[in-house]
Amino acid sequence: MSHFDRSTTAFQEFIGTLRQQWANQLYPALNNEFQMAAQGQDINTPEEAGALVSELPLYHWFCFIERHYQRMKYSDPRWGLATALAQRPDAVQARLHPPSDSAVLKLDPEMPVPDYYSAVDIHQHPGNLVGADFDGLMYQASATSIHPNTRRFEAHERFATWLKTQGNFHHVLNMGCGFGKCGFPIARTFAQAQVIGIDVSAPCLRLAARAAQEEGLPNVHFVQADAAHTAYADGSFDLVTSTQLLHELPADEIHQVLRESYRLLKPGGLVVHLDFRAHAPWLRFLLEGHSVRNNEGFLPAFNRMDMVAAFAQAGFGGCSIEPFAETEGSTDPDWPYWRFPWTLFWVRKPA
Amino acid sequence: MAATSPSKTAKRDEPELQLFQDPSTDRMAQMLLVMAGELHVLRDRLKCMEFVLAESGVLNATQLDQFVPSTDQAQVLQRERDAFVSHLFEVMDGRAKSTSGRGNPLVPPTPGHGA
Repeated sequence: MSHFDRSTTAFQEFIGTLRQQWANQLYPALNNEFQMAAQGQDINTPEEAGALVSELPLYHWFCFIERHYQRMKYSDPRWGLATALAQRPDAVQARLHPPSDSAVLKLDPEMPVPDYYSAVDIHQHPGNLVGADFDGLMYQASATSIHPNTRRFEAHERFATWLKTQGNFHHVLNMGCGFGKCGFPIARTFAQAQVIGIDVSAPCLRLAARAAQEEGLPNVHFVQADAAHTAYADGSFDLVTSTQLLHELPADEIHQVLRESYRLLKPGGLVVHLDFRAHAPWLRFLLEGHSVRNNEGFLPAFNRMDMVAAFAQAGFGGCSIEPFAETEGSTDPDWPYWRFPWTLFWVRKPA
Repeated sequence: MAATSPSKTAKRDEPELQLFQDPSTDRMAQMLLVMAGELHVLRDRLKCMEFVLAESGVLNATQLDQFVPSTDQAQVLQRERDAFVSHLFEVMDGRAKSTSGRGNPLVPPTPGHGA
């Protein structure tokens, strides 16, 4: 965040620490209180978990901090990201001027923004990711909060490592690539592959293309396109991926993305969508509550969707669903801190 | 793309979420967060200023902690400390109130509406 002044940097660091302590201190304390209160009770549904936890004073503070660290991060009138970036147009443009190789970035200014995308300011991002030139920078500055302890995109690095266990890939499509946090580790891991990142957000794609060229990654480029309706030919890819995309979509779009994944894969190709899934009533209650507090409107329906059936409807033979450790040890049963329930949904297209 | 961009104004007009049972608690807690952010930024800037002064040779790393105020300086610090604590206690013991007097002496104050 070198393009911010000292006060903004200090404030954003404060917000980051709020988020970290919320996950590492407040959640364990709340979880402990909940488990104590739940002893001897039969908790089978998120609603039953909610009725129990709502009686605990700490629960309201937990919700409050979750809502407001994010609100302040984006929308604080003095040092929020929206204010800070709007006041520094020169610094923003310096980060966004087009890459010298035009093949790295293909934008489509005529591409309509999907209605569902305009309907919700996901993550409390003002105007979502298509409103201003600095939206990509704002999302990038915000997004590390999902990894409060490392402040880097560790999940995406580990995801690329997991993909490597599935074989070598040569033509990779990364759906909903954002500013490239997933595409870059894949391009580094599969240096012989051509990796295409697609997204509807031009500000994110501009940032991604610029970063790819600065890093000297020759095998990744970025295209403005909707993952549900791409222009690529049938069987163009041997790996189709996304991370944290599906839960941002309404059900119809998820089905269409899965159908598109099937169409774009070569026979024997691999589709892997990395997203979230909570099963236990208590975690479901917290995750679905998070969707309200952090403007994740489509997350509850996604969490309840039968993904095996959805993959099957798209042409695949169902899918595997397995927990994914975004950081070392995080899927251990006694992991004490708050984390999103990262989950792999994956299957190969029949050969 | 601009024509299909979302309406930021409409979304911002939505009321803020209420997360405590009493909405005034939400607002009080938001005030606390604003103050906490302000305090942190102030502390950060002060620490950075110490670093800058130390790097430029005006102050060495231990000089501030070893500083002993003169008698006059100590009185200034004492007055500021007294005023700060008194200001806090004014809220607790009920002295914190408007100095403008009652708005209308013919209307008795009503609990919850200006008592």
